[in-house]
Amino acid sequence: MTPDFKGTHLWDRLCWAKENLDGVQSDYRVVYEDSIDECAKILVPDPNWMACALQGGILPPVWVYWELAKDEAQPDFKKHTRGYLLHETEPMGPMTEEEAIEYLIQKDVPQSVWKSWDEGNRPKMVICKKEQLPATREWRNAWRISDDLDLAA
Amino acid sequence: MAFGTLKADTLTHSTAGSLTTDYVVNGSAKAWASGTPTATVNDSFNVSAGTDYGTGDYTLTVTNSFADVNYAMTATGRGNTAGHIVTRNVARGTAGILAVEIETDAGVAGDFAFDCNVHGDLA
Repeated sequence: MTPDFKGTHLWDRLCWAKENLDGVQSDYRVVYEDSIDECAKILVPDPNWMACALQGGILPPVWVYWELAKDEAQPDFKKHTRGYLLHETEPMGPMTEEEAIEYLIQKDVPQSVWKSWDEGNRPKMVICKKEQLPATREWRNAWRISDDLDLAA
Repeated sequence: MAFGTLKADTLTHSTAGSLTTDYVVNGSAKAWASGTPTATVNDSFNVSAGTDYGTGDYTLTVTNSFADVNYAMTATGRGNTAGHIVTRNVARGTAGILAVEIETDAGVAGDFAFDCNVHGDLA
């Protein structure tokens, strides 16, 4: 059971998790395109992070990361001054693996992608299983999301 | 079994001298990862995801962001053949994104497993 980590520094929460939780390798992958001039990117969940998400009581709500990203996007940004949001905001409860992937997308995929992933002529983002990716790395820098995706499937 | 908290400002060895615990805290790697050529993370600390941007082009995103971009990152490409050139990609890196590019010793981007350690101040 996760200790009551309210107000505990996120670093200390991660230390507890590393000591007490086994990593969980997810089969999910998030493929996205954030530039028409670049190949598709592939986001892979970290196993220790996934263990924290499934356990609950460790990770801060995702809006905390959005706030820090806003600060860092300011032209005069030098240093984070609102790190306390990571440590003092009440941690998230346990998530399912699918909920954790949704959280991770909102944390680590550019907002310009996940906020409008299905707008336009073709999807900018797809969640898939690792077996659905090409089996080899051949032509990796030309990989794109297929135009033939059946999103209703 | 749960262990309690040891609070101390100084560690003293019987013969070798003393060390303030500031050195221990500040000298600890605040993030590390062992990654594969497809950005899958084998093991790590303070990392939320790996991202494969293309051949030899990877990022690691952290859970507890660094205070700024002035962290010290060391990374190595793993392999049993030729040497690898590993570069910290500052154009892509932020306080929460650690960016690594790996090339062969001929200067060609290549997919290699990699290790990454980061020291610095956390947000």
